[in-house]
Amino acid sequence: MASIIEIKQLSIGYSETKNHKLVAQNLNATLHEGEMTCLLGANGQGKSTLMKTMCGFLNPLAGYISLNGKRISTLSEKQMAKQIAIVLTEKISVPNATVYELVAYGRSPFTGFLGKLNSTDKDIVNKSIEQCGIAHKKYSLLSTLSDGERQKVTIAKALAQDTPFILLDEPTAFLDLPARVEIMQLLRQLATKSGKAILMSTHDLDLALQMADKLWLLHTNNVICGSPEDLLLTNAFQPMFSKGGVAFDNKTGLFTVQYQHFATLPVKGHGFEYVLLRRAFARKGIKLVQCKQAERFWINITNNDALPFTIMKDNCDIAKFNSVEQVVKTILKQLSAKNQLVKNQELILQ
Amino acid sequence: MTKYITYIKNLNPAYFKIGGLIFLVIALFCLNLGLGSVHIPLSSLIDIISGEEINNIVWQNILTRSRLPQAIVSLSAGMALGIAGLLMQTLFRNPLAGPSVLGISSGASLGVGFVILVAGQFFGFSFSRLGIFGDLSLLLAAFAGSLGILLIILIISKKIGGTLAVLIMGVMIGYLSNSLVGIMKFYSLEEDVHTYVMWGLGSFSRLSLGRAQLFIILTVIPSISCLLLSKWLNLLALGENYAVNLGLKIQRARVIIILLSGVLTATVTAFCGPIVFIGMAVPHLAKLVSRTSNHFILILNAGIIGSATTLLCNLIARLPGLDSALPINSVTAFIGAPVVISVIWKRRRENLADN
Repeated sequence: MASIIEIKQLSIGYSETKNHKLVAQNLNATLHEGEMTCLLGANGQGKSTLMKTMCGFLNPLAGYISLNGKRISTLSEKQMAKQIAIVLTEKISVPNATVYELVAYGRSPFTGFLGKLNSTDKDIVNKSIEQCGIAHKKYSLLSTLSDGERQKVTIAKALAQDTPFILLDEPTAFLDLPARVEIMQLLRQLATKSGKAILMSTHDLDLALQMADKLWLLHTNNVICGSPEDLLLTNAFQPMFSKGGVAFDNKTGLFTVQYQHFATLPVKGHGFEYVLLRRAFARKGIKLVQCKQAERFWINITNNDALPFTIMKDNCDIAKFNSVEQVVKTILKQLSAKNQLVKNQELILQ
Repeated sequence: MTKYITYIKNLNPAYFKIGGLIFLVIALFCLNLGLGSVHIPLSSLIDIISGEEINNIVWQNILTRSRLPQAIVSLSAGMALGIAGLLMQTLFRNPLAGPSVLGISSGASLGVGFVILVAGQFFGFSFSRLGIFGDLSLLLAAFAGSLGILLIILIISKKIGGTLAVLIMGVMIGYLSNSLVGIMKFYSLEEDVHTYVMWGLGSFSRLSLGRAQLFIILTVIPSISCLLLSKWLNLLALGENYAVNLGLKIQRARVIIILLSGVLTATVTAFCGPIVFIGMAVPHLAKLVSRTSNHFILILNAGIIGSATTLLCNLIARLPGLDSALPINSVTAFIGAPVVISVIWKRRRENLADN
């Protein structure tokens, strides 16, 4: 597959007359046609700066970006407009604009001095609107649309621009989960069907892992590129999210929040009920341990029972529950009650 | 014939509205000629307009020296201010922007203030005693002042990138020139200050027929040129980043838009004095009439509705029954302020949703 964008030894940042503010350096990456790539990175790692540099809004501090073999710094505004289409985080709010009008502005690089559309332009505009699934809203005012629909209109505008490369800065921010998935699926289809190279920055790692062809993991000193599976294989995600109570599970591709625990609680049992109980107690700083030897105080789990949770003390059951919340409440009450605390200290507190 | 009908059917409905608005302007123009403190019969009106001599010299004078130039001046001033205001509102993406926002009318005030308040002191005469020559020098002073400020704004916008920065600079320059005028006023003769205040109230009735004709030419040419900017304005409305991504040379576009809007404002202020509110209110009406974001139609709307509004204001200012005409700025504010208030009121939901 032909590469559309090539980034070589790129340093990005903001240069003022005297001091340069370097954001990231030593970046090497390529984008291929027909692929959707997700750009991931922690806040402040320079995702937006990289995107702005790729659009030509910022000049690279060192290195270069080439677009179909030409360096972007040598391209004029008009030439750039025919190569890169962008979708930004900032909301477009044009008074009175209809969906059709806004998408039609995407044809601007091709229209004449007064911006009049010819029949080819109109066909492309209509096709773009259809591809993004907003044909039924074609003549609606922009201000009447939901956030998800608005984002689709902006993507349709980028499509109408008919460029080989589309760049999207956090297109799924501010959207609810179904809308996020919908937008990502739309972009996937566009990449596969139209052969465009699509680069989007996002914080949705789980969606990116499932839907992107390639991932770019941006670090201050390099960018790691590869398919999601290969990156999982090489354990590339760990360093990215190593700080602050979050653990990345390579096998599931999911995050787990890590809690500090101050006490342990013996439990007999397993299954779904056990998993739920463990999660609820983890939030409160209590770690569940399997009850191996005889304990004075433990919780017994009977799977598929009407009252699955039993609090046991000295081999007698104190109480039975069907709600996890009730179990947690009862245990915490016992812990905070002073006399119980002393009594049960050796049992519950480490 | 059928071809003709399908052509009409395919025409943007906005053009029909524009046709209707042009008709409204013509009607208001005729009312401006026909109504006034002196009643002139319709038949005589038509005779005078069509150039026939009638024996009532007073009527003829009222029409050709007062009502006709006033109507022409109102028409052109409204068109120019409406379009200039629309350009500023789109460039700054701010519904409260207007032609005066860049300090151009303050520049005109500064020029005029300098001539009326300072020159008189230096040369030892009171300005109000000068006749025709004074009139012309006021015109030139206003032009010089506003174009001077325009030049400064253009240089600033070339030097610094952001649109918002240009806006703030413009407002600041406006304050500076106002305070300079304040100092001049403080040290001036009372009658000069009065002359200056009268100039500042704005008027459509200062110009002779010949000057009015010059005025309409000076405003129509830049107004029509603005239509050529409609594609740029459409892109700028999307926001600067999107505009650049769609191939707009933003620096050049910004300078030319400021230049055209500035020339329009400077011309109107030089000939009529500072006219408030029209430039801010009319663009809102233009957007209300046609639900489109296409600036080709919006500019046409703004020009025509601007003309209609000023003609209406001029009519109200000279309502029969009033001994003398009201200052035009009081009338424009009374028409303009409610428009702006109602638009903001209607839009408040939309704005909340946007923010």
